[in-house]
This record gives sequence, C-alpha cells and structure tokens, in this order.
Amino acid sequence: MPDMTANLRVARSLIVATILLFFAIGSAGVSQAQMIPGAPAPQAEPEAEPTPPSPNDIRELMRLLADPSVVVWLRSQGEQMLDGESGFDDSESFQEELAERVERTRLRLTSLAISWRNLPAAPAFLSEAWQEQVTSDQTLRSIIYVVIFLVIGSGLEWLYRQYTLQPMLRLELNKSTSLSHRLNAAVLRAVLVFGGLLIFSIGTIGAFLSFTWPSFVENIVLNLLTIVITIRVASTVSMFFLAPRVPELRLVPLSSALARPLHYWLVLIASIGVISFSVTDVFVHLAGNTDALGATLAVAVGTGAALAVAVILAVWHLSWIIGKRSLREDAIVSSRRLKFWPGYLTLLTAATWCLWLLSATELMWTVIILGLLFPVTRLLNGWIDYFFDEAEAKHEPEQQENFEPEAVEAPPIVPVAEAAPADAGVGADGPLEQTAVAEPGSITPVEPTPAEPEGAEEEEEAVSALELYRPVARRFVRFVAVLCAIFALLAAWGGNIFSLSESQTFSGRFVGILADIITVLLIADLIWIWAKSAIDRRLANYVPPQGSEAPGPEARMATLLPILRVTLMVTLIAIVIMTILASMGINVGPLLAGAGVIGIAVGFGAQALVKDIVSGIFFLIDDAFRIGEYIEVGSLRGTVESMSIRSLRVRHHLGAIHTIPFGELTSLTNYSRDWVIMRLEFRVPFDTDLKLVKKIVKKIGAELQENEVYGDGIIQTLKSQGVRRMEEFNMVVGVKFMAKPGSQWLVRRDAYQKLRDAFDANGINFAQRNVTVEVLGDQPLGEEAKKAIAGAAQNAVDSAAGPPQPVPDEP
Amino acid sequence: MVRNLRMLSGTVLFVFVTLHLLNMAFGLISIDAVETARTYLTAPWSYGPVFVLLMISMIVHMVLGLYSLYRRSTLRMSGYDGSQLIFGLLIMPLLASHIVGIYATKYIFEADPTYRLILSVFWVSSPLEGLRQVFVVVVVWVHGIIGIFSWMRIKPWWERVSWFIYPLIVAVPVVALLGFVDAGNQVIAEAEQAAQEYAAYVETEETEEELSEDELRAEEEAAEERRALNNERFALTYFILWMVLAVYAAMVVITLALRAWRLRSRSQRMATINYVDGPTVEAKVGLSLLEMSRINEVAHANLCRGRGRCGTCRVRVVESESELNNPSTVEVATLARLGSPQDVRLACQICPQAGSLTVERLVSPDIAPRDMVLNQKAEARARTGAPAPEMADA
Repeated sequence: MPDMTANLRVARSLIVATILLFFAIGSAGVSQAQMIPGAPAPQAEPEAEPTPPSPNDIRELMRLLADPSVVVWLRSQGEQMLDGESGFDDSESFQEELAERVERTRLRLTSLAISWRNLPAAPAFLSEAWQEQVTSDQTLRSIIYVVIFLVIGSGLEWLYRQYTLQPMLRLELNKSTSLSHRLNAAVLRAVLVFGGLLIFSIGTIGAFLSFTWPSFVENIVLNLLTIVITIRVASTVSMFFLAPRVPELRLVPLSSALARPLHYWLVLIASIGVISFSVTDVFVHLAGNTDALGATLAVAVGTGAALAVAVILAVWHLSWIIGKRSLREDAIVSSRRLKFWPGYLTLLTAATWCLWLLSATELMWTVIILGLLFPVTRLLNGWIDYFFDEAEAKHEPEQQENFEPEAVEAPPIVPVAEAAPADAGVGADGPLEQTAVAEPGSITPVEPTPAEPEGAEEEEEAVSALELYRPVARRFVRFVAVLCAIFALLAAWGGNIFSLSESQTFSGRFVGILADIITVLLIADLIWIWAKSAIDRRLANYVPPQGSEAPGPEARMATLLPILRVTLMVTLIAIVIMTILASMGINVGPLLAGAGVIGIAVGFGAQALVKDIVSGIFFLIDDAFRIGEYIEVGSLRGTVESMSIRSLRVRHHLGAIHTIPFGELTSLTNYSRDWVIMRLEFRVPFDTDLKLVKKIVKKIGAELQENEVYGDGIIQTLKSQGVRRMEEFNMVVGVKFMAKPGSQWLVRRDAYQKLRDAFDANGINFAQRNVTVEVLGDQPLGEEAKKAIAGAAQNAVDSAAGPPQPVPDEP
Repeated sequence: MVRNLRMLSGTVLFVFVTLHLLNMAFGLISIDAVETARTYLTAPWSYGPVFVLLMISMIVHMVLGLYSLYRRSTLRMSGYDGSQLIFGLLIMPLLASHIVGIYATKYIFEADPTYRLILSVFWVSSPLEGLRQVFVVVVVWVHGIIGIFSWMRIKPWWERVSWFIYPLIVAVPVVALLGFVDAGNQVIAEAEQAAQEYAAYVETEETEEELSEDELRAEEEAAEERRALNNERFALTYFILWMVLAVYAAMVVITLALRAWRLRSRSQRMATINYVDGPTVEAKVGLSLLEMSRINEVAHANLCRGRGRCGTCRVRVVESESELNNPSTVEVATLARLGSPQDVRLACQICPQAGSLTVERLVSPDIAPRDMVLNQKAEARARTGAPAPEMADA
C-alpha cells in the first residue's frame, strides 16, 4: 500500500510538471513569434512627432546587442554603448534599466488596447491580407502538396514499420519486471519509434524541399509540416516515458488509468502549443509590416489564451482523476493537497500568461522557472526513488519479502505527513534526506510506515549498496535541476551567460556572483552527501564486538571514520568560503598564503603526530593486530586494549599498561593468530616404561579433546614426542599440542594435572634429583661423617642445575 | 461463399486501382505519356465485359462491406480493422464525384474523358476536387492493401515475396501522386498559356476587324445556347451525383439501423474468460472471444485478423460453463488443415455465452507469418512421423 500511494504522489507531480514544461515550451514559442517581428501597433500612435527610435528599431537593436559577436565587435571598436538598451551588455544604471522596462510595458499595453479596439475588424483584415498573398486555388494546391508530402512520409514510415514490426511486437509483449530489462526495452522501443519518425520527417521534408515555392506559400507549408512533425515528436516522447498501452514498458510510476489521460493531454497541449506558434507565425508573415490594427497581436493573444486554458483544464482533469482514484483505493491524499497543487499550477499558468501578455518575457521566464523548480525537483526525486525501489526489488527479492514495510520498499520517497510524527518514516538510510523532502509542500502525504520490529535485520547488511547511492543520486538530480534553472534564468535575462562576470552593470554582476555561489554550494553539497553517506554506511554496517568476541579491523575504522568526516566537512567549508569570497571579488591570495605559512609551522610541529597517524593507518591495512590480541613490541608485551588515532594501548598480563605510538612500532609480534603450539616436558627416571607413557599421553589427549570448556580450542590434541633428551639423572619426555591462541594455558594446566595423576596411578614416578654417595669402606659412618657427606652432595646437586627459571611470559 | 466473393470483387477493384494509379504515374514523364498509357492500362476497363465486371465488383464489394458492418458485433476493433471499415465507408462519398464526373463527361457531355481534360478540372477549374482525389488515393489504397494483406500474408509464399512487395506498396501511390502533381503543373501551364493566347486573340479580334451586329448577335446566341445546354448537363450531372450519394447514405443508415435492431436484444450479461497463464477478464456476451481479448487488451495472435483463415488465434477450451456455438465450415476447414484435436477452437469464431470459460492460447501472440509456416511444417513432420498431440507453439 505505501508503494501505491507513493506512486500516486509521484504521479501527480510528474503530471503537473510535464504539463507545465510543455506549456513553457509552447508559450515560449508563441512569445518568440511575438517578439521577433516586434509590436507593430505603435505605428498607429498619433503623438510620435519627435520621432524617437520606433520600438521596432529598438527591438532590432536589442536583438543585435544580445548577439555576442556584435558585442565583441562593439567592444573592439572601443565605442561607448548606446543608451537606453536593456540587457547586461552595456553599462546602464539600474534605474535606466527599470525605466526602459516600464516604458516597454507601457507600449505593449497601448498596442494591446489598440488590438482590442480593432478586434471586430481583425478577421476581415486578415482574410484580406491572406487573399492578397495567395489565391484560394493556391491555398488548395498547397494543401494538396502537404497531403502528398504526408502520404510520402507516412508511406516510408509504414515501410519502415513493416520491417521493424516483429522486434517491436516482441518488445511490447515480452513481459518482464526487471528494471534493467524494462529500461532496455523502453529505449529500444523509443529508438524504433524515433527511427520511424525520422524517416517520416525525412520523407515529408525531403519532398517539400524538392519543390520551389513562393515565399509565403513556403511559410505556410513549412508551418503545416512543422505542426505535424512536432505533434508526432511530442507524442513519441510522451509515449517513451508513459507507455500508455504497455504498462511493462512504463518508466514512470503511474497506473494506466492515469498514464493514458496524461498522454492525451500532453499531446493535446503540444498540439495547441505548436498550432498557436504556427498560426501566429503565419499571420505575422502575412501582415507583419502592414498590420496597424493589431490583428496579429489579437491572434497571438487568443492562441496563447487557448494554450493556457488547455493547461489549466489538464491540471484539473488529472487531479480530479487522482482524487477519484485515491478515494476509491483509500490512499490518503489529503484534500488540502489535492486542492493546493492544481490551484498553484493554475495560478502559475495564469501569471505566466499575464506576464507574456505584458511582454515581460524575462519576468515570465523567471516565474516559470522558479515556480517549476520545486515541483520538478520533487518529482525528479520521486522518479529517482522509483528507479531505486525497482532496482532494489530486483536486487534483493527475499529482503523485500521479509521487510515489507521497511525502508527498502517505499518510505524514502514518502514525505512525512503532517499528522505523522517526525521520525515515523525515517529509514536507516537517510534522516537527512527525509527532512529535506518533508517540507510542507510535499504533494501527497502518505501514511507513516509502522516501525519495523527489529530482529531479522542483523542477518542482512543493514544498508545496501544501492541505498548508499540513493541520496547521492537525489542530490545530483537536484543539483542538475537547480543548475539548469540557473542557466535558464541567466539565458532569459542576460543572453550571454559566460560574459556575465565581465558585465559592468550592477544586476549583471550580482546575478553572476549569485550563480557562482549557488553552484559552488551545490557542488560542495553533492560531494558532502556522497562522502557522508559512504561513511555513514560503513559506520552503520559496523557491529561492535559482542562480549568477549575479538573486534575486527573495522573497529579502528569506526574510530577513524568520524574523524575523517569532520575533516572533510571542515575542508569543504573552507573551500566553499574561499570560493565565495573569491567570486565576490575579494582577493583570497594573502589569506591562502597566511594559511599556508601557519600550515607549515603546524606541520613541522605535528610531524611526529602525522607519522603516528599514517603508520597507524598502514598497520591497520596490514591487519597486524586487533583489539584483544596478545602482542609483543620490542620488549613490551601485553594484550591490545584500545587504539586511538595516534597510539596503541597494550596491557601487560600483570596489569601494567604500555602506550605505544604507532610511529614507534618497527616490528610487531602477534601471539594471537590462528594457532599456537605448546610443548610440555617432564622428567622421568631411566627405568620408566616409555610405551606406557605414550599410551597414557594418548588417552589424556583424547580426554582433553572431550572437554567441553576448551575442547573446541584444541587443534591437534596432546601427543607424546618420546624422549627428547637424556640428562644425567633422568630422561626428558616431550609432549605437545596445538591449540587456538588463548586457550593453550588452560589446556596446559589440565594436561599437567592429568598427566601427574595418571603417572601416579600407573606407578610412574617423576624423576627426582638424588645424589648417590658411594662410601668406600665397610665401617659404619658416624653422624658427623653423614652430615659432611650430605652437605657435599647438596652442593653437587645445587651446582649441577640451578633452581628452575619461571617461564616469564605467561599470564 | 461471402468471403470468397468479397475477396474476388476486391481483387478486381484492386487491380483496376493499381493500373489506374500506375497510369497516373506516367504524369512524371508528360501528359501525352499518360494518354498513351491510358489506351493500355485504363481504357480497356470502360468497354464490354471488363466494364461490366468492374461495375459488378464495385457494387458487390460495397454491399458485402455493408453486410460485414451489419454482422459486426462490436465497433471496438483493432486499428487495422477500424481503418479498413472507416476508409471503406469513406470511399463512396469521396469517389462518387470522380466516377459520376467521368461517365457524365462520356455520356452527357459526349466528350472523351482524357486525362488532360480531367486533370484540368482537378487543377485549374476546381482544385477542391483535386484535393479530394488525393484523399481518395490514400483511402482506397489503404483499404485495398489491408484487405489484400490480411488475405495474403498467411500464405506460405508470402514471406519470400513480401520484401519485394512492401516497397511496391508504398511506391505505387507515391509515384502516382507525384505524377498527378507533375501532370497538374503541366496542365496549369497549358491553361495559363491558353488564357494568354485567348486574351491576345480577343485583343486582335477587337482591334482589327469589327464584326457586324448580326454576327455578334448570332455568336452571342450560340454562346447562350451552349451555356444553357451546359447548364442543363451540369444540372443532370449534379442530380445524378446527389442521387448516388443519397442512395449510398441511405444504405449506410439502413445498415446501421438493421445492425442496431439485430443487437438490440443482445443480453447485457457478462462472460468471464480465464486465460491459462494469463489474466481473467470479463466481457459482454455477444462478441467473439478474439474481440473480447482485444477489448481487454489480452495479447492474442490473429494473423488473418479474425477471418478464420489462419488459425493462429486457436485456443484449447479447457472448461466451459455454457455450450459453445458449433464450428462453421471455415473453422472446421482451418482446424482440419492444422490437424487440431477436438477441444481446440478458433477464438475469432466462438462467441462465449454468459458464465465462465477457461481457454489456453496455443499460439504465442508475437507470431510472425514466417513462424506460422515453420510451425505448420514442424507439425506436419510430427504428424507424419508419430501421431503426436498438437504442440503448444513456442
């Protein structure tokens, strides 16, 4: 269900923005048609006596001045720019600029009034002008020609289709839910359709070019062909995205019930737009120079109004459909939202049309771009999310099953509804994104997804690789959208974008600087989001060691990454500030130089620190030790207890703590890796039965392995190695075992104990140091003599072997 | 019978149209070339048994077309069928003036309807007629091509020749239209020249020799007479034209009325169709299964477009609540040709009744005519080798 509602929401935003986009294109065309020939009406103005340059001339001049090559030429002439021109190319003051615009609006209003007054006479005037240009026979004949061209074009296209029919049919019938397949199929289908369109265009236009025409008839025929081809292009593009008939190829999250009317509306609006443009163009050609009545203006206004009305109707119709559907499917689409967006778009359309009516083209573009920026960004985000959802659904089908209402499914696109608690829909992936989209303007609020009971999550990776790129992709799309908006705005206002920074006017420079700053901020934001989500993902995937479990190498990463993040942020902020200052004209050279000097000083001081950090990173990469391992560094031994960015903390088994900077580590011995071999030896008298000893050792080895405490830790159990060497009073018997590091002490303890007990039970004695004193002579010794002998023997024993050294390194 | 008759009459008409268009294509050379070609390509159609055959074909084809409209149980149809029907209905209104004009020229005005004459009408005196001819070419050609295609493309040899035929299909009308334009330009030039010559002639007449009053009056009277005669003839021509159009309109209206009458009692109950490995849809009773599939956008192969010839729409009837209509002779023949077992039927021929029906589509919807041929061969081999049951086609 969240899927459905999310789709619905995205659907709506998609619809409105596409429509508006079309409208923008259409109205741009009309306005352009209106602008180029200039407003003809002022010629009828009676009070034009001191003959200021006519608006036509002014406009022509403006057009020329907007041309970069002309600007370059003028500069090279070293001439002062003329006064009274708009645009950023000359050094006029803000006030003059404003005054000029006001004047232009006033002229436009006058011509509108004239046009309105002469409206009843307009049709007669136009038809008269028409008949002056072409006879009715000629008109009919040109229609014949157009029809023939269209027949040629469609014939060729039909031929093309016959050859591409089968692949096309297979594409449409091959149902596949996989995203990549769907994308491929949609693209291939679009290529096929576009190929047909191309052939159609080549056929019609080629046939058109092979005839020579009177200029006006050529204009008409060309316009007719333009209309047909444009409508078809619009239809094909719309079909590529919406696939009204084949849901499997649809690239946007819309249901068929919505995609079809949307498609029809788009085609209709495109048709109205291009027809308006062409009709205006034809009439301007027809009567541009002789039109004193403002008839062509009336035509342009009428077609523009038709376009605006079509857009508004489309918006309301589609929102009505959405409302109906959401009512039926119980999706929560608040009626407030349902009213707000169509109203907003209606208002936007109306405002655009009014501004266009007043010929305030720059303002019109500003309104369109700014008004559309937010919805377009939102719906692009929704679209991106849709793609990610699709890709993930394909990628992790089993996860999707388990985690039905989890973040994987839909919530990331779901803006939090007003009623929902702020954290309701926040998945593990991006709280930042959540807050970013959860602005009050969100289009369709959706039920907050119930929090998923934790539990199964530990099995899977908490954050998938795709999830990592989702916020990045969203940011990137937003970045591109804002960038496009900026460029479009600059294009609408300035003409030449790239010479803006050299512009002398206040507003020109201001806009240029603003554009610089916004661009820098956006890029920094993009980098930051990418790095942050990468770091956060690593951190999120880090599971701290449970209990006595030895932590892995990522433990140190977990300490390093936040530091890295902060460093990155500081660096980015510094760079951004520098760039902004630089673009505002402040010389950052000295600042950088000063920072460089300080940096060098600090660098010398911190040399050792840097060495520690860097070598620490390399030890980490080598995986030389982990927390909890027993290591030896030079003369120091102990268990690794913790690591900081600079140093390593090792606890001796007697409790002492050694702090060793990483830079000091030259070589390092790790006693806790993989396995250890422990050799034990004991002394037995020469008369011991070695076979019995071997048997006993074997038995004890088996016993040890059975032990439930440390049995698992034994890799190769206790086994006898036979007599290792002979000493003067006894034999040394060796045994050994292999165990996992850490468990050997316990095993050794038990092995000694069991061996002793077993030997005892089997009558084997451990050899004891004894000195046999052979007394020559047969008379009994006196007490004195015995003592002297014992003392001498004791000396011999002591001197032969000193007291045994304790093994130094056992905890 | 009806089917064959329709195909036959259509073929005759199509051959005529093709020859007529090819004749027009000679306009790319010159009008005289057109006239020369006319004696071989078009003129033979206006005499004797050929003419009778053409006329009969036209009437038969029109009546059969209206009959098929009458038989049609739904007007929601595929693009091809819809175009064919609409274009077929449009032919008469668009073409009537041309046909009537030709025969009026011949029998009322007692002139030879040469291309030069008719073209001068189309390009000089009434360009609207010329425009209409362009539309007629498109409409007639598309109608004819759809019909021929539906018939031919299931033939085994079609795959081999289609690659040569496709370009021809486009080339014929295009070349004809270009010839029409070129010849038209020539006609216009000739007409302008004639007008100039006439003006010059009138000037010299007026300046050089004065006519006596009697002569003038006589001339005027003669002109008046001619004008009256012409007006009479035109009135007759237009009367015939309007009669033809009125009769045609009446026929169409009557057909539609009869169809409405036939369908009035159609039950509004719904049939439920379960497709094996496919969706379950509902449709009004009275349509054929193929039409139900199309209305509900269930992909269903139909190469001959529901005429019962190709057998690609065949389904295995898994379960049916109600009795299905008995197979027609066409269906029996097709199924026998395919060697299908008893429970296989043609979707374009069965009309499911109320209740549920479970069918399995046996042919993949994206089948091409070529595949069909291959399948048939494979099946034939399978049958001759071992009497295996019909395979579900890949």
